Amino acid sequence: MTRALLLVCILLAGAAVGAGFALGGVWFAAAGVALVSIAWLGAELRGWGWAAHLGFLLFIFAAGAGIFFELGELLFIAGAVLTLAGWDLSAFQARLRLAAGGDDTARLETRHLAWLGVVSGAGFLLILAAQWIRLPLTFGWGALLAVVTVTALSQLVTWLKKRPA
Amino acid sequence: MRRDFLLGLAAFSLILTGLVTLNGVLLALAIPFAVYLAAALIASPSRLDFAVERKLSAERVPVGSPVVVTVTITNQGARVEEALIEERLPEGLSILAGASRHLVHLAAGERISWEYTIAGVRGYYQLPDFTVRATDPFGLLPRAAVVHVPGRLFVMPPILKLKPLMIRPRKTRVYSGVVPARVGGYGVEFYGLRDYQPGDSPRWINWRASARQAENLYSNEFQQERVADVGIILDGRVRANVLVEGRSLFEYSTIAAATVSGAFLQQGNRVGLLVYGHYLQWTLPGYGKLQREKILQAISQAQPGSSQVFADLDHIPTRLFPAQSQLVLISPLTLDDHEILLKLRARGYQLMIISPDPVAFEASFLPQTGAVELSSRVIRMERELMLHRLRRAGIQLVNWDVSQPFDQVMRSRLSHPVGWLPAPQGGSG
Repeated sequence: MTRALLLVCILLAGAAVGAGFALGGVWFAAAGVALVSIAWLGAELRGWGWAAHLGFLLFIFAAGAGIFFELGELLFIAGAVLTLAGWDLSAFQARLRLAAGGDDTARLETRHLAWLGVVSGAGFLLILAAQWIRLPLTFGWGALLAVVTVTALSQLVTWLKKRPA
Repeated sequence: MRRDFLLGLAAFSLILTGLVTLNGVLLALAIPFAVYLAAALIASPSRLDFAVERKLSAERVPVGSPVVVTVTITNQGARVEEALIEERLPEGLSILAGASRHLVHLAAGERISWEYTIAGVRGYYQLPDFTVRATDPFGLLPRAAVVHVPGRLFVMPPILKLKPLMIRPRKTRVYSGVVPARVGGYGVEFYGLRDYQPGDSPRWINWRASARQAENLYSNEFQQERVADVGIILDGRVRANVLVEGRSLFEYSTIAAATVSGAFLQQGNRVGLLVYGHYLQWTLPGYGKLQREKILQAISQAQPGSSQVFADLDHIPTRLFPAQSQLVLISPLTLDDHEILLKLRARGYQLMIISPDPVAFEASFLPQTGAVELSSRVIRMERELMLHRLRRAGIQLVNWDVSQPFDQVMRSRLSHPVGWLPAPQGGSG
Protein backbone atom coordinates (compact mmCIF):
# COMPACT_ATOMS: atom_id res chain seq x y z
CA MET A 1 0.00 0.00 0.00
CA THR A 2 2.83 2.35 0.91
CA ARG A 3 4.51 1.84 -2.42
CA ALA A 4 1.33 2.55 -4.36
CA LEU A 5 0.63 5.67 -2.30
CA LEU A 6 4.20 6.82 -2.77
CA LEU A 7 3.90 6.60 -6.55
CA VAL A 8 0.53 8.32 -6.48
CA CYS A 9 1.91 11.15 -4.33
CA ILE A 10 4.85 11.72 -6.67
CA LEU A 11 2.57 11.67 -9.71
CA LEU A 12 0.06 14.05 -8.14
CA ALA A 13 2.78 16.37 -6.82
CA GLY A 14 4.34 16.52 -10.28
CA ALA A 15 0.94 17.00 -11.88
CA ALA A 16 -0.02 19.82 -9.48
CA VAL A 17 3.23 21.77 -9.77
CA GLY A 18 3.46 21.09 -13.50
CA ALA A 19 -0.14 22.19 -14.02
CA GLY A 20 0.57 25.36 -12.04
CA PHE A 21 3.39 26.26 -14.42
CA ALA A 22 1.36 25.20 -17.48
CA LEU A 23 -1.57 27.35 -16.45
CA GLY A 24 0.83 30.23 -15.99
CA GLY A 25 2.19 29.61 -19.47
CA VAL A 26 5.68 28.63 -18.35
CA TRP A 27 5.90 25.51 -20.45
CA PHE A 28 9.59 24.83 -20.07
CA ALA A 29 9.16 24.77 -16.27
CA ALA A 30 6.16 22.47 -16.60
CA ALA A 31 8.21 20.16 -18.81
CA GLY A 32 11.09 20.29 -16.31
CA VAL A 33 8.75 19.35 -13.46
CA ALA A 34 7.36 16.50 -15.55
CA LEU A 35 10.89 15.25 -16.22
CA VAL A 36 11.82 15.45 -12.54
CA SER A 37 8.70 13.55 -11.51
CA ILE A 38 9.39 10.83 -14.08
CA ALA A 39 12.99 10.58 -12.89
CA TRP A 40 11.86 10.43 -9.25
CA LEU A 41 9.30 7.74 -10.09
CA GLY A 42 11.92 5.73 -11.94
CA ALA A 43 14.37 6.08 -9.09
CA GLU A 44 11.77 4.90 -6.59
CA LEU A 45 10.96 1.91 -8.75
CA ARG A 46 14.65 1.05 -8.83
CA GLY A 47 14.93 1.53 -5.06
CA TRP A 48 17.25 4.56 -5.14
CA GLY A 49 16.29 6.20 -1.86
CA TRP A 50 18.57 9.22 -2.29
CA ALA A 51 16.52 10.39 -5.29
CA ALA A 52 13.67 11.30 -2.93
CA HIS A 53 15.79 14.00 -1.29
CA LEU A 54 16.66 15.50 -4.66
CA GLY A 55 13.07 15.30 -5.88
CA PHE A 56 11.86 16.84 -2.63
CA LEU A 57 14.22 19.83 -2.87
CA LEU A 58 13.53 20.39 -6.58
CA PHE A 59 9.75 20.23 -6.16
CA ILE A 60 9.76 22.55 -3.15
CA PHE A 61 11.99 24.96 -5.05
CA ALA A 62 9.65 24.76 -8.07
CA ALA A 63 6.57 25.32 -5.91
CA GLY A 64 8.26 28.28 -4.20
CA ALA A 65 9.26 29.71 -7.55
CA GLY A 66 5.72 29.33 -8.89
CA ILE A 67 4.33 31.19 -5.90
CA PHE A 68 7.05 33.83 -6.05
CA PHE A 69 6.29 34.57 -9.71
CA GLU A 70 2.57 34.64 -8.84
CA LEU A 71 1.64 31.87 -11.26
CA GLY A 72 -1.00 30.61 -8.88
CA GLU A 73 -1.21 29.44 -5.30
CA LEU A 74 -3.45 26.44 -4.70
CA LEU A 75 -1.79 24.06 -7.14
CA PHE A 76 1.69 24.90 -5.87
CA ILE A 77 0.59 24.55 -2.24
CA ALA A 78 -1.05 21.19 -2.99
CA GLY A 79 2.07 20.16 -4.90
CA ALA A 80 4.29 21.06 -1.93
CA VAL A 81 2.13 19.12 0.51
CA LEU A 82 2.07 16.09 -1.80
CA THR A 83 5.82 16.36 -2.23
CA LEU A 84 6.23 16.26 1.54
CA ALA A 85 4.00 13.17 1.68
CA GLY A 86 5.93 11.48 -1.15
CA TRP A 87 9.27 12.25 0.48
CA ASP A 88 8.01 10.85 3.78
CA LEU A 89 6.60 7.71 2.20
CA SER A 90 9.84 7.08 0.37
CA ALA A 91 11.73 7.08 3.68
CA PHE A 92 9.03 5.01 5.34
CA GLN A 93 9.23 2.42 2.58
CA ALA A 94 12.99 2.22 3.07
CA ARG A 95 12.43 1.60 6.79
CA LEU A 96 9.82 -1.04 6.05
CA ARG A 97 12.40 -2.95 4.02
CA LEU A 98 14.23 -3.60 7.27
CA ALA A 99 11.26 -5.48 8.68
CA ALA A 100 11.40 -9.24 8.93
CA GLY A 101 8.92 -11.50 7.19
CA GLY A 102 6.73 -12.06 10.21
CA ASP A 103 6.59 -8.46 11.41
CA ASP A 104 3.25 -6.72 11.65
CA THR A 105 3.96 -4.22 8.88
CA ALA A 106 0.25 -3.67 8.24
CA ARG A 107 -0.05 -2.15 11.71
CA LEU A 108 2.98 0.03 11.12
CA GLU A 109 1.61 1.17 7.76
CA THR A 110 -1.81 1.96 9.14
CA ARG A 111 -0.39 4.03 11.98
CA HIS A 112 2.06 5.81 9.74
CA LEU A 113 -0.53 6.69 7.13
CA ALA A 114 -2.84 7.96 9.86
CA TRP A 115 -0.10 10.23 11.20
CA LEU A 116 0.82 11.40 7.72
CA GLY A 117 -2.80 12.04 6.79
CA VAL A 118 -3.37 14.12 9.91
CA VAL A 119 -0.17 16.12 9.50
CA SER A 120 -0.60 16.73 5.76
CA GLY A 121 -4.27 17.59 6.20
CA ALA A 122 -3.52 19.93 9.08
CA GLY A 123 -0.71 21.58 7.14
CA PHE A 124 -2.86 22.06 4.07
CA LEU A 125 -5.79 23.41 6.07
CA LEU A 126 -3.55 25.80 7.96
CA ILE A 127 -2.20 27.18 4.69
CA LEU A 128 -5.72 27.61 3.41
CA ALA A 129 -6.66 29.31 6.65
CA ALA A 130 -3.63 31.55 6.29
CA GLN A 131 -4.98 32.64 2.90
CA TRP A 132 -8.00 34.10 4.66
CA ILE A 133 -6.06 35.87 7.35
CA ARG A 134 -4.18 38.52 5.47
CA LEU A 135 -1.98 40.64 7.71
CA PRO A 136 0.06 43.43 6.22
CA LEU A 137 3.68 42.31 6.39
CA THR A 138 5.30 45.50 7.55
CA PHE A 139 8.97 45.98 8.19
CA GLY A 140 8.41 45.57 11.93
CA TRP A 141 6.55 42.25 11.50
CA GLY A 142 9.18 41.10 9.07
CA ALA A 143 12.04 41.98 11.42
CA LEU A 144 10.30 40.24 14.31
CA LEU A 145 9.68 37.11 12.24
CA ALA A 146 13.29 37.17 11.04
CA VAL A 147 14.58 37.32 14.61
CA VAL A 148 12.22 34.52 15.66
CA THR A 149 13.32 32.42 12.67
CA VAL A 150 17.02 32.91 13.29
CA THR A 151 16.58 32.13 16.99
CA ALA A 152 14.54 29.01 16.22
CA LEU A 153 17.08 27.94 13.63
CA SER A 154 20.00 28.33 16.03
CA GLN A 155 18.07 26.47 18.76
CA LEU A 156 17.29 23.66 16.36
CA VAL A 157 20.91 23.37 15.23
CA THR A 158 22.09 23.30 18.86
CA TRP A 159 19.53 20.64 19.70
CA LEU A 160 20.44 18.52 16.70
CA LYS A 161 24.11 18.72 17.61
CA LYS A 162 23.46 17.61 21.19
CA ARG A 163 21.20 14.76 20.21
CA PRO A 164 22.93 11.43 19.59
CA ALA A 165 22.78 10.40 15.96
CA MET B 1 21.44 12.54 4.31
CA ARG B 2 19.78 13.57 7.55
CA ARG B 3 16.13 14.10 6.89
CA ASP B 4 15.64 16.47 9.81
CA PHE B 5 18.31 18.72 8.37
CA LEU B 6 16.73 18.61 4.92
CA LEU B 7 13.30 19.39 6.28
CA GLY B 8 14.65 22.27 8.37
CA LEU B 9 16.53 23.58 5.36
CA ALA B 10 13.37 23.58 3.21
CA ALA B 11 11.23 25.18 5.92
CA PHE B 12 13.67 27.91 6.87
CA SER B 13 14.51 28.65 3.23
CA LEU B 14 10.83 29.26 2.57
CA ILE B 15 10.47 31.42 5.67
CA LEU B 16 13.56 33.48 4.94
CA THR B 17 12.66 33.88 1.26
CA GLY B 18 9.15 34.89 2.27
CA LEU B 19 10.52 37.44 4.73
CA VAL B 20 13.08 38.83 2.35
CA THR B 21 10.58 39.12 -0.49
CA LEU B 22 7.72 40.08 1.86
CA ASN B 23 5.66 37.28 0.32
CA GLY B 24 3.08 35.87 2.76
CA VAL B 25 2.20 32.83 0.65
CA LEU B 26 5.81 31.69 0.65
CA LEU B 27 5.78 32.08 4.40
CA ALA B 28 2.58 30.06 4.59
CA LEU B 29 4.12 27.36 2.41
CA ALA B 30 6.47 26.56 5.30
CA ILE B 31 3.50 25.65 7.52
CA PRO B 32 3.19 21.94 6.49
CA PHE B 33 6.89 21.46 7.11
CA ALA B 34 6.67 23.11 10.49
CA VAL B 35 3.63 20.98 11.37
CA TYR B 36 5.47 17.85 10.20
CA LEU B 37 8.52 18.73 12.31
CA ALA B 38 6.38 19.61 15.31
CA ALA B 39 4.49 16.30 15.07
CA ALA B 40 7.79 14.43 14.91
CA LEU B 41 9.05 16.29 17.97
CA ILE B 42 5.87 15.59 19.92
CA ALA B 43 5.76 11.89 19.04
CA SER B 44 9.49 11.36 19.41
CA PRO B 45 10.30 8.83 22.14
CA SER B 46 11.71 10.76 25.07
CA ARG B 47 13.08 7.77 26.97
CA LEU B 48 13.68 4.22 25.90
CA ASP B 49 13.09 1.57 28.50
CA PHE B 50 12.94 -2.00 27.28
CA ALA B 51 13.19 -5.28 29.11
CA VAL B 52 14.61 -7.90 26.81
CA GLU B 53 14.75 -11.59 27.52
CA ARG B 54 16.51 -14.12 25.34
CA LYS B 55 16.18 -17.88 25.67
CA LEU B 56 18.15 -20.47 23.76
CA SER B 57 16.86 -23.97 23.22
CA ALA B 58 20.38 -25.19 24.06
CA GLU B 59 23.58 -23.51 25.15
CA ARG B 60 25.86 -26.27 23.87
CA VAL B 61 25.26 -28.02 20.62
CA PRO B 62 27.25 -30.03 18.10
CA VAL B 63 28.33 -28.34 14.88
CA GLY B 64 25.44 -27.73 12.52
CA SER B 65 22.70 -28.41 15.07
CA PRO B 66 19.96 -25.78 15.06
CA VAL B 67 19.34 -23.64 18.12
CA VAL B 68 16.04 -21.86 18.55
CA VAL B 69 16.40 -18.40 20.02
CA THR B 70 13.30 -16.89 21.61
CA VAL B 71 13.34 -13.16 22.22
CA THR B 72 10.76 -11.38 24.34
CA ILE B 73 10.70 -7.60 24.55
CA THR B 74 8.60 -5.55 26.93
CA ASN B 75 8.25 -1.82 26.48
CA GLN B 76 8.45 -0.36 29.99
CA GLY B 77 8.51 3.22 28.78
CA ALA B 78 6.20 5.38 26.71
CA ARG B 79 4.76 4.34 23.36
CA VAL B 80 7.25 3.89 20.55
CA GLU B 81 5.89 4.36 17.07
CA GLU B 82 8.65 2.49 15.27
CA ALA B 83 11.45 0.52 16.79
CA LEU B 84 14.06 -1.43 14.90
CA ILE B 85 15.38 -4.10 17.23
CA GLU B 86 18.46 -5.87 16.08
CA GLU B 87 21.00 -8.43 17.19
CA ARG B 88 24.15 -8.56 15.10
CA LEU B 89 25.16 -12.18 15.30
CA PRO B 90 28.86 -12.90 15.57
CA GLU B 91 30.75 -14.28 12.62
CA GLY B 92 30.37 -18.04 12.44
CA LEU B 93 26.70 -18.11 13.36
CA SER B 94 24.12 -18.11 10.61
CA ILE B 95 20.36 -17.82 10.64
CA LEU B 96 18.50 -20.86 9.36
CA ALA B 97 14.97 -19.57 9.86
CA GLY B 98 13.42 -16.33 11.05
CA ALA B 99 15.27 -13.07 11.53
CA SER B 100 17.30 -11.37 14.20
CA ARG B 101 16.09 -7.91 13.16
CA HIS B 102 12.53 -6.73 13.58
CA LEU B 103 10.63 -3.53 12.98
CA VAL B 104 7.81 -3.12 15.46
CA HIS B 105 5.36 -0.69 16.99
CA LEU B 106 5.31 -0.92 20.77
CA ALA B 107 2.59 0.59 22.90
CA ALA B 108 3.38 1.35 26.53
CA GLY B 109 3.62 -1.92 28.45
CA GLU B 110 3.28 -4.00 25.30
CA ARG B 111 5.18 -7.25 25.05
CA ILE B 112 6.16 -8.98 21.85
CA SER B 113 8.27 -12.01 21.12
CA TRP B 114 9.75 -13.80 18.16
CA GLU B 115 11.83 -16.83 17.40
CA TYR B 116 14.62 -17.54 15.02
CA THR B 117 16.86 -20.51 14.42
CA ILE B 118 20.62 -20.34 14.21
CA ALA B 119 23.45 -22.76 13.59
CA GLY B 120 27.16 -22.28 13.63
CA VAL B 121 30.61 -23.58 13.07
CA ARG B 122 32.68 -24.81 16.01
CA GLY B 123 33.35 -22.06 18.49
CA TYR B 124 32.35 -20.20 21.59
CA TYR B 125 29.99 -17.34 20.94
CA GLN B 126 29.07 -14.47 23.20
CA LEU B 127 25.67 -13.45 21.96
CA PRO B 128 25.52 -9.73 21.27
CA ASP B 129 23.56 -6.98 22.94
CA PHE B 130 20.35 -5.75 21.41
CA THR B 131 20.40 -2.48 19.54
CA VAL B 132 17.12 -0.64 19.66
CA ARG B 133 16.62 2.26 17.29
CA ALA B 134 13.34 3.98 18.00
CA THR B 135 11.94 6.86 16.01
CA ASP B 136 8.97 9.15 15.78
CA PRO B 137 6.33 8.21 13.18
CA PHE B 138 8.24 10.04 10.45
CA GLY B 139 11.70 8.68 11.19
CA LEU B 140 13.06 12.18 11.70
CA LEU B 141 14.40 12.00 15.22
CA PRO B 142 15.77 8.55 15.90
CA ARG B 143 17.01 7.55 19.32
CA ALA B 144 19.20 4.54 19.93
CA ALA B 145 19.70 2.35 22.96
CA VAL B 146 21.71 -0.76 23.67
CA VAL B 147 20.13 -3.40 25.86
CA HIS B 148 22.60 -5.75 27.43
CA VAL B 149 21.36 -9.32 27.52
CA PRO B 150 24.00 -11.89 28.39
CA GLY B 151 24.00 -15.05 26.35
CA ARG B 152 26.49 -17.61 25.19
CA LEU B 153 26.57 -20.55 22.89
CA PHE B 154 29.08 -23.35 22.62
CA VAL B 155 29.18 -25.07 19.27
CA MET B 156 31.15 -28.18 19.89
CA PRO B 157 32.91 -30.56 17.56
CA PRO B 158 31.07 -33.80 16.91
CA ILE B 159 31.82 -36.46 19.49
CA LEU B 160 32.04 -39.94 18.04
CA LYS B 161 31.63 -43.16 19.97
CA LEU B 162 34.76 -45.21 20.39
CA LYS B 163 35.41 -48.63 21.75
CA PRO B 164 37.63 -48.57 24.86
CA LEU B 165 41.10 -47.39 23.96
CA MET B 166 43.90 -49.64 25.12
CA ILE B 167 46.74 -47.79 26.79
CA ARG B 168 49.47 -48.94 29.09
CA PRO B 169 51.24 -46.07 30.78
CA ARG B 170 54.08 -46.94 33.08
CA LYS B 171 52.46 -45.22 36.00
CA THR B 172 48.82 -45.28 37.04
CA ARG B 173 46.84 -43.74 39.84
CA VAL B 174 45.66 -45.55 42.95
CA TYR B 175 41.98 -45.81 42.04
CA SER B 176 40.71 -48.87 40.28
CA GLY B 177 39.94 -48.53 36.61
CA VAL B 178 40.52 -50.34 33.36
CA VAL B 179 44.15 -49.61 32.61
CA PRO B 180 46.53 -52.50 33.37
CA ALA B 181 48.78 -51.21 36.15
CA ARG B 182 51.79 -53.56 35.88
CA VAL B 183 51.22 -54.45 39.52
CA GLY B 184 50.02 -57.77 40.80
CA GLY B 185 46.83 -57.97 42.82
CA TYR B 186 43.13 -58.22 42.15
CA GLY B 187 42.25 -58.07 38.53
CA VAL B 188 41.25 -60.01 35.46
CA GLU B 189 44.38 -60.41 33.38
CA PHE B 190 46.97 -63.01 34.38
CA TYR B 191 50.12 -61.34 35.73
CA GLY B 192 52.28 -64.12 37.23
CA LEU B 193 52.72 -66.77 39.91
CA ARG B 194 53.58 -66.37 43.55
CA ASP B 195 53.65 -68.56 46.63
CA TYR B 196 50.31 -69.44 48.07
CA GLN B 197 49.46 -67.27 51.04
CA PRO B 198 46.86 -67.96 53.69
CA GLY B 199 43.66 -66.27 52.70
CA ASP B 200 44.11 -66.84 48.96
CA SER B 201 41.03 -68.21 47.33
CA PRO B 202 41.41 -71.88 46.35
CA ARG B 203 40.29 -70.84 42.89
CA TRP B 204 43.49 -68.82 42.51
CA ILE B 205 45.72 -71.81 43.12
CA ASN B 206 47.59 -72.76 40.01
CA TRP B 207 47.28 -76.53 40.30
CA ARG B 208 49.45 -77.26 37.32
CA ALA B 209 52.42 -75.32 38.76
CA SER B 210 51.78 -76.58 42.28
CA ALA B 211 51.83 -80.20 41.07
CA ARG B 212 55.42 -79.78 39.94
CA GLN B 213 56.53 -78.89 43.48
CA ALA B 214 55.65 -81.28 46.25
CA GLU B 215 56.04 -78.84 49.14
CA ASN B 216 54.66 -75.59 47.79
CA LEU B 217 51.42 -74.31 46.48
CA TYR B 218 51.37 -71.48 43.95
CA SER B 219 48.68 -68.93 43.37
CA ASN B 220 47.93 -67.04 40.21
CA GLU B 221 48.48 -63.34 40.45
CA PHE B 222 46.41 -60.94 38.43
CA GLN B 223 47.24 -57.56 37.10
CA GLN B 224 45.63 -54.69 38.90
CA GLU B 225 43.57 -52.36 36.77
CA ARG B 226 43.58 -48.74 37.68
CA VAL B 227 42.82 -45.35 36.23
CA ALA B 228 45.57 -43.43 34.53
CA ASP B 229 46.60 -39.86 33.96
CA VAL B 230 46.03 -38.94 30.34
CA GLY B 231 47.32 -35.67 28.96
CA ILE B 232 45.88 -34.70 25.60
CA ILE B 233 47.89 -32.23 23.57
CA LEU B 234 46.01 -30.60 20.72
CA ASP B 235 48.42 -29.10 18.24
CA GLY B 236 47.07 -25.73 17.12
CA ARG B 237 50.12 -24.46 15.30
CA VAL B 238 49.24 -22.83 12.02
CA ARG B 239 52.34 -24.25 10.35
CA ALA B 240 51.22 -27.78 11.16
CA ASN B 241 47.56 -27.38 10.28
CA VAL B 242 46.99 -27.15 6.57
CA LEU B 243 44.37 -24.66 5.44
CA VAL B 244 42.95 -25.31 1.97
CA GLU B 245 40.02 -23.45 0.44
CA GLY B 246 38.85 -22.24 3.83
CA ARG B 247 38.91 -25.73 5.36
CA SER B 248 41.45 -26.40 8.06
CA LEU B 249 42.88 -29.69 9.15
CA PHE B 250 42.60 -28.33 12.67
CA GLU B 251 38.87 -28.98 12.62
CA TYR B 252 39.59 -32.68 12.24
CA SER B 253 42.07 -32.49 15.08
CA THR B 254 39.36 -31.04 17.31
CA ILE B 255 37.04 -33.91 16.41
CA ALA B 256 39.78 -36.35 17.37
CA ALA B 257 40.51 -34.48 20.62
CA ALA B 258 36.85 -34.37 21.64
CA THR B 259 36.30 -38.03 20.81
CA VAL B 260 39.46 -39.33 22.45
CA SER B 261 39.04 -37.25 25.61
CA GLY B 262 35.45 -38.46 25.91
CA ALA B 263 36.56 -42.08 25.52
CA PHE B 264 39.29 -41.78 28.16
CA LEU B 265 36.99 -40.05 30.61
CA GLN B 266 34.38 -42.71 29.97
CA GLN B 267 36.93 -45.28 31.10
CA GLY B 268 37.34 -43.37 34.37
CA ASN B 269 40.73 -41.84 33.65
CA ARG B 270 41.96 -38.46 34.76
CA VAL B 271 42.24 -36.34 31.66
CA GLY B 272 43.74 -32.91 31.01
CA LEU B 273 43.95 -30.94 27.79
CA LEU B 274 46.67 -28.68 26.46
CA VAL B 275 46.03 -26.64 23.33
CA TYR B 276 49.41 -25.77 21.91
CA GLY B 277 49.49 -23.03 19.32
CA HIS B 278 49.34 -19.29 19.61
CA TYR B 279 49.60 -19.74 23.37
CA LEU B 280 49.16 -22.54 25.89
CA GLN B 281 45.57 -23.19 26.85
CA TRP B 282 45.60 -25.66 29.71
CA THR B 283 42.58 -27.43 31.12
CA LEU B 284 43.47 -28.93 34.47
CA PRO B 285 43.11 -32.70 34.70
CA GLY B 286 39.96 -34.11 36.19
CA TYR B 287 37.47 -36.93 36.11
CA GLY B 288 33.96 -37.50 34.91
CA LYS B 289 31.26 -35.59 33.14
CA LEU B 290 32.19 -32.20 34.51
CA GLN B 291 35.70 -32.58 33.16
CA ARG B 292 34.29 -33.73 29.85
CA GLU B 293 32.27 -30.54 29.68
CA LYS B 294 35.31 -28.42 30.53
CA ILE B 295 37.37 -30.09 27.86
CA LEU B 296 34.65 -29.74 25.26
CA GLN B 297 34.31 -26.05 26.04
CA ALA B 298 38.07 -25.62 25.75
CA ILE B 299 38.07 -27.44 22.41
CA SER B 300 35.17 -25.28 21.22
CA GLN B 301 37.21 -22.18 21.89
CA ALA B 302 40.46 -23.52 20.47
CA GLN B 303 41.71 -21.76 17.36
CA PRO B 304 44.88 -22.38 15.40
CA GLY B 305 47.49 -19.69 15.85
CA SER B 306 51.14 -18.98 15.32
CA SER B 307 53.82 -17.90 17.73
CA GLN B 308 57.59 -17.76 17.47
CA VAL B 309 57.91 -19.42 20.86
CA PHE B 310 55.58 -22.30 20.08
CA ALA B 311 56.59 -22.75 16.44
CA ASP B 312 57.85 -26.24 17.24
CA LEU B 313 56.97 -28.72 19.96
CA ASP B 314 60.09 -28.03 22.07
CA HIS B 315 58.13 -25.96 24.52
CA ILE B 316 55.51 -28.49 25.51
CA PRO B 317 55.44 -27.97 29.28
CA THR B 318 56.03 -31.53 30.45
CA ARG B 319 55.74 -30.42 34.07
CA LEU B 320 52.00 -30.25 33.54
CA PHE B 321 51.88 -33.99 32.99
CA PRO B 322 52.73 -36.53 35.70
CA ALA B 323 55.91 -38.46 35.03
CA GLN B 324 55.49 -41.65 33.02
CA SER B 325 51.85 -40.93 32.34
CA GLN B 326 50.00 -41.35 29.07
CA LEU B 327 50.25 -38.53 26.56
CA VAL B 328 48.07 -38.27 23.48
CA LEU B 329 49.32 -35.85 20.86
CA ILE B 330 46.83 -34.87 18.18
CA SER B 331 48.81 -33.24 15.45
CA PRO B 332 49.33 -33.39 11.70
CA LEU B 333 53.06 -33.27 12.61
CA THR B 334 55.82 -31.49 10.77
CA LEU B 335 59.01 -33.14 9.65
CA ASP B 336 61.04 -31.61 12.46
CA ASP B 337 58.73 -32.78 15.24
CA HIS B 338 60.02 -36.30 15.66
CA GLU B 339 63.06 -35.44 17.80
CA ILE B 340 61.07 -33.83 20.60
CA LEU B 341 58.59 -36.70 20.47
CA LEU B 342 61.40 -39.19 20.88
CA LYS B 343 62.68 -37.17 23.82
CA LEU B 344 59.25 -37.33 25.43
CA ARG B 345 59.23 -41.06 24.92
CA ALA B 346 62.72 -41.32 26.41
CA ARG B 347 61.52 -39.53 29.52
CA GLY B 348 59.15 -42.40 30.10
CA TYR B 349 55.90 -40.99 28.80
CA GLN B 350 53.71 -43.46 27.02
CA LEU B 351 52.95 -41.60 23.85
CA MET B 352 50.06 -41.98 21.47
CA ILE B 353 49.95 -39.81 18.36
CA ILE B 354 46.84 -39.29 16.30
CA SER B 355 47.95 -37.54 13.16
CA PRO B 356 45.42 -36.26 10.64
CA ASP B 357 47.22 -36.80 7.35
CA PRO B 358 48.01 -33.36 5.83
CA VAL B 359 49.31 -34.84 2.57
CA ALA B 360 46.11 -36.71 1.75
CA PHE B 361 44.04 -33.74 2.92
CA GLU B 362 45.80 -31.22 0.72
CA ALA B 363 46.04 -33.57 -2.25
CA SER B 364 42.28 -34.08 -2.19
CA PHE B 365 41.86 -30.42 -3.11
CA LEU B 366 44.45 -30.39 -5.89
CA PRO B 367 43.96 -31.41 -9.52
CA GLN B 368 45.22 -34.93 -10.20
CA THR B 369 48.09 -34.01 -12.49
CA GLY B 370 51.37 -35.81 -12.83
CA ALA B 371 53.28 -33.07 -11.03
CA VAL B 372 50.89 -33.08 -8.09
CA GLU B 373 51.03 -36.85 -7.85
CA LEU B 374 54.83 -36.90 -7.96
CA SER B 375 55.23 -34.17 -5.35
CA SER B 376 52.66 -35.76 -3.05
CA ARG B 377 54.49 -39.07 -3.33
CA VAL B 378 57.76 -37.42 -2.32
CA ILE B 379 56.18 -35.66 0.64
CA ARG B 380 54.34 -38.80 1.64
CA MET B 381 57.60 -40.75 1.64
CA GLU B 382 59.23 -38.18 3.89
CA ARG B 383 56.28 -38.34 6.22
CA GLU B 384 56.18 -42.13 6.22
CA LEU B 385 59.86 -42.18 7.10
CA MET B 386 59.23 -39.92 10.07
CA LEU B 387 56.22 -41.97 11.19
CA HIS B 388 58.30 -45.14 10.88
CA ARG B 389 60.93 -43.69 13.21
CA LEU B 390 58.26 -42.81 15.73
CA ARG B 391 56.71 -46.27 15.60
CA ARG B 392 60.10 -47.86 16.10
CA ALA B 393 60.48 -45.84 19.26
CA GLY B 394 57.38 -47.51 20.70
CA ILE B 395 54.96 -44.72 20.02
CA GLN B 396 51.39 -45.71 19.25
CA LEU B 397 50.62 -43.89 16.06
CA VAL B 398 47.51 -43.46 14.00
CA ASN B 399 47.94 -41.85 10.62
CA TRP B 400 44.42 -40.66 9.94
CA ASP B 401 43.34 -40.01 6.38
CA VAL B 402 40.54 -37.59 7.19
CA SER B 403 38.43 -38.84 4.31
CA GLN B 404 37.86 -41.91 6.53
CA PRO B 405 35.58 -41.69 9.56
CA PHE B 406 37.64 -41.22 12.72
CA ASP B 407 35.82 -43.82 14.77
CA GLN B 408 36.42 -46.51 12.15
CA VAL B 409 40.10 -45.67 11.94
CA MET B 410 40.47 -45.76 15.70
CA ARG B 411 38.55 -49.02 15.96
CA SER B 412 40.94 -50.73 13.62
CA ARG B 413 44.10 -49.27 15.10
CA LEU B 414 43.76 -48.72 18.82
CA SER B 415 41.11 -51.01 20.22
CA HIS B 416 43.47 -53.95 20.73
CA PRO B 417 45.94 -54.24 23.59
CA VAL B 418 49.31 -52.68 23.12
CA GLY B 419 52.36 -54.69 23.94
CA TRP B 420 54.86 -53.82 26.61
CA LEU B 421 56.93 -51.18 25.01
CA PRO B 422 60.19 -50.23 26.62
CA ALA B 423 61.19 -46.61 26.52
CA PRO B 424 64.18 -45.99 24.26
CA GLN B 425 67.36 -45.05 26.03
CA GLY B 426 68.38 -42.15 23.80
CA GLY B 427 66.77 -38.93 22.70
CA SER B 428 66.97 -39.71 19.03
CA GLY B 429 66.27 -42.82 17.10
